[in-house]
Amino acid sequence: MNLIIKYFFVGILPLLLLSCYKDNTSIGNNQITELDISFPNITGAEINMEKNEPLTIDPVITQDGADKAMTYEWQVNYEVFSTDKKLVFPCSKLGKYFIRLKVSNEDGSAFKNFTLNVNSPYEEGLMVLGQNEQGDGSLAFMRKYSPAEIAAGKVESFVNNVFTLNNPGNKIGKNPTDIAKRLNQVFISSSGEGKIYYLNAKTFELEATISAADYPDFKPVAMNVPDAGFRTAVILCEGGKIYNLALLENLILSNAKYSQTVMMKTGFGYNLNDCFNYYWNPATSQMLQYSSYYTTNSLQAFQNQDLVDFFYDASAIYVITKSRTTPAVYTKTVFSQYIQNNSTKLLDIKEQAVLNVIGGDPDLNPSSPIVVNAAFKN
Amino acid sequence: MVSLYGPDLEHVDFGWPYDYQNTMNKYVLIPLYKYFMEENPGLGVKIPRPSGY
Repeated sequence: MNLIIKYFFVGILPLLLLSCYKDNTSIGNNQITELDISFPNITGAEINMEKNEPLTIDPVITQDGADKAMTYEWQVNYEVFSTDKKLVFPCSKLGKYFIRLKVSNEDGSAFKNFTLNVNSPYEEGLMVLGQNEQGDGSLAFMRKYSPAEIAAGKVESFVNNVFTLNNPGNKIGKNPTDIAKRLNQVFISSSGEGKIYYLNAKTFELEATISAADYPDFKPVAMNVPDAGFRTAVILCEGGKIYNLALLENLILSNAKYSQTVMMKTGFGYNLNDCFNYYWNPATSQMLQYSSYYTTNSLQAFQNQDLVDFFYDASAIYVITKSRTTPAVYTKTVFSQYIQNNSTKLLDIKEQAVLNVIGGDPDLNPSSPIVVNAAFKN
Repeated sequence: MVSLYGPDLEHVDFGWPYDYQNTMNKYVLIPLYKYFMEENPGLGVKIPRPSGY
């Protein structure tokens, strides 16, 4: 009997009570408006843009029912970037971005996403350092396009002032003098400011401004920065002073090996082991060579001669000189990279010849452009 | 450099920090040389002349 009562209370009584509940619910009959998103200017799941090239997307949203109020949410890397319908993304930083648009109405939300790659426009091209009439420096860059890109309508043209474009609020300053690329670094020297700017070669963003408050005469004119893994470069400054630049430490050091004043001209070359820097000392009529392991000079090879020009090419340093006593006599002397034999200290002359200069002065002079950089020649 | 080796370079547990040798020369060795060898030679501390000075 107890068992029957127990089953009654536990099993049957709840059913009896439930049967007393009146159900007035009905199936939903409101029309739901579904959303559909499309991006007119994007095909595929991944797009590529260049740095500083703004990405603009005006999405087309269709509702398959009544037009209802919509809200928009653009997400970049899972964070809300904008709540406007139209996306304007500046692409100011290199990288890979996951971009998603969420459109909502009162019935629900729809999503559409794609991946954006912001690439460097400065991978390959031509850098030009210039200055205006007031002496203010500027950097221009012309990107090199592939034949396929040119066929697709891309036009190679210079973008001006990329320094300020990538470094808002910063300027190169007065009297820019030299520009050099080293691996992922670009160095720009300014004699007016007494500074060297170190930029990221892929973004042209300023990594460091190198100055030398302890050397007031540090007014860089030419930088012998090889496009290789060397850690120190030699900097020629106004007045013919030479300093060292620590390329990884952004530091200026005095050059203790060559304290004498040199002519305002330099050239350099390098191989896997060493970088060779060349100068002319007008006081002693000597070619100077400064490298990691050896500091050499041309001894008495150019006594009573004036320099016409020198340049480095094919692992040799070419020196053109003019006799002081017989100015019509020009001499070409070709040295090995170190000028002197490292063991015997004798001059290492590969070739020497008197040049037959027709019509007087040759075109070359000490201020002739430096064309010794192998990368430039290529 | 400070984050790697500490403010007093107390964690340099090898011979010479080549990655920072210019910094070491300019800000550590050359001032040491000037102080002990040039300004206060009477202290008797011998510092080799740093390269680049």
